[in-house]
Amino acid sequence: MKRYLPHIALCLLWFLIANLYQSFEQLDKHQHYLTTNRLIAYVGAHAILMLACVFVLLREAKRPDNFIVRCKRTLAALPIPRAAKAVVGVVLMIQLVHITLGVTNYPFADVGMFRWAKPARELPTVLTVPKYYYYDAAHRIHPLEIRKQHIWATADLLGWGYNNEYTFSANYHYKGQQINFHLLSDALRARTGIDTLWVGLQTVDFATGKVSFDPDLAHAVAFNDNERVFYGPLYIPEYQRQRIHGIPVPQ
Amino acid sequence: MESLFPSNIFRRFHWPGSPYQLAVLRMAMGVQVFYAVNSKIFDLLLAVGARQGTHTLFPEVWDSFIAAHCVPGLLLACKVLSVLLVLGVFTRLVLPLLTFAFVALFGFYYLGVNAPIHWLYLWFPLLVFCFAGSEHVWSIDAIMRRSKYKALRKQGAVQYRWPVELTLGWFVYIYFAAGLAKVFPILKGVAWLNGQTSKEIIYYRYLDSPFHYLFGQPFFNYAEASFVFGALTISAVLLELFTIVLLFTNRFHILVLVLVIAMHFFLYLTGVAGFMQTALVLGLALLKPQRFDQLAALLPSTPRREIGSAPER
Repeated sequence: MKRYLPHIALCLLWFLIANLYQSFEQLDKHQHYLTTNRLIAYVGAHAILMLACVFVLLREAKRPDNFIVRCKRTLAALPIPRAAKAVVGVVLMIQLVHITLGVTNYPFADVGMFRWAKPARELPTVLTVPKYYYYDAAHRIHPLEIRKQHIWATADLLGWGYNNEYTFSANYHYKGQQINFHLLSDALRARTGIDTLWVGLQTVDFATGKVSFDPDLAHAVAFNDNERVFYGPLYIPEYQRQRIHGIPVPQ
Repeated sequence: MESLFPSNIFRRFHWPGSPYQLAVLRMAMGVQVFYAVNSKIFDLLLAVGARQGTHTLFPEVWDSFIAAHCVPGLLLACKVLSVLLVLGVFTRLVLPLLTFAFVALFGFYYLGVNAPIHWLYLWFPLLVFCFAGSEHVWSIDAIMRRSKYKALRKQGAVQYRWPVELTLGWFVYIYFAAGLAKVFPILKGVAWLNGQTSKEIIYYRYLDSPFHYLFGQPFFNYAEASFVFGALTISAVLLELFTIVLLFTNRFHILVLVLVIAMHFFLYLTGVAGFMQTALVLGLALLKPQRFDQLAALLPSTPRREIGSAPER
């Protein structure tokens, strides 16, 4: 086990550097914890451990067959073409820097999805979201489940190409954009004959488990414009807003 | 001196691999690229022209040039090249061209969609395969130039192992880095483990998730505090950090693969989709090469003498 001590020291040194850097990078989020005394203790503990790692590594470096020599020998002996070895080596080094700094610069990534911590809190029992809906031939109301369309087994309106990436962006990132509404409406019209998308409110009551849909346009517009909506408000065409005030829908 | 980890990744580089495993990985990556570039997301991104506050390593002038002039051409190139990759036509030329076109195209994608879907999993394996003999079997190249590829195959089965191990290493990087990002820095990591992030994902995406489409109503009150969210969060981080064990031993490959796919399937049900199939593509690198030799043996067209070159480990 003793022979692995330098490897462990090197990994620990990297861990401490990355942890300290990212702590300062996000210091504004930890101000409640890092009061001056605690900050000194936090940095001091890192410094002591880092010095211990450096000590172990320096002591190892004095040996003729130290772990750096052994690592070089192992890497040199790998049965990988020289060009591939060089390219992979450069890529992995750049990747390591990105993980250390906790950043993504495409195509190098720290894979930090969902990394932000949120304080524990209870959420409202009732969740309401504005959602488009349409009428079928029998004049029944159907909420437009955009995210259903990327699932092969449940896609009932859109086809090949309307995959997860599209439905996610159409449903969240760009749902407030007019052009997103028009692209979606055009696709639905061309494929299923749905001529108009209306806006309603879909609600889930997590306490009772009941899911309901309110097709009232006035309620939807008021909610969309005034309440906090996940990923921002939904785009509502002007003629639908006018309809609330009794102005007829243009054909 | 005996190693503590006799099947660590550096040792495995010297073990024999299977040309059929490389061929299957080549085809799976080709299919995945073809699927990814046939998405309507590119039409949407071209139409909205918006960005999500993300960055690329390339200069701004490059990103703007790609967005303004190259996306339709890159889409066409990726579609054609990915089909050629699956078929194994001009593979030595197709792989570098496809890698370049794919990286250029998904730089545009990433600026508009801040998610590491497709590109994170695929760009490095594509780069590695530029140097590997993935077309030595089950390709039109191998059919057209039989004697050349027969001679190349005779150079030994070790040449088929390193690309698979590097792909496996990339799989480890993705999940281990994801686990690290959640606990780094430790000050935040402790707070992250409270489960609130998982709770908000499940809560806010509920009405657009397969859980809603399949079951019609939530299983319990997601708005309240529950040990379930904390348990899910801790399990996910532990699993992601556990993937590093793949570098030290080959004993847990199947276990890790099954758990990762199970995690993605659960996330898929909560509305976080897109990662499961790309994980499955890279997951092919976690299977034993012998399994692919056995698969090849089932096909009547495979030469008997060339099967079974990789001994069971």
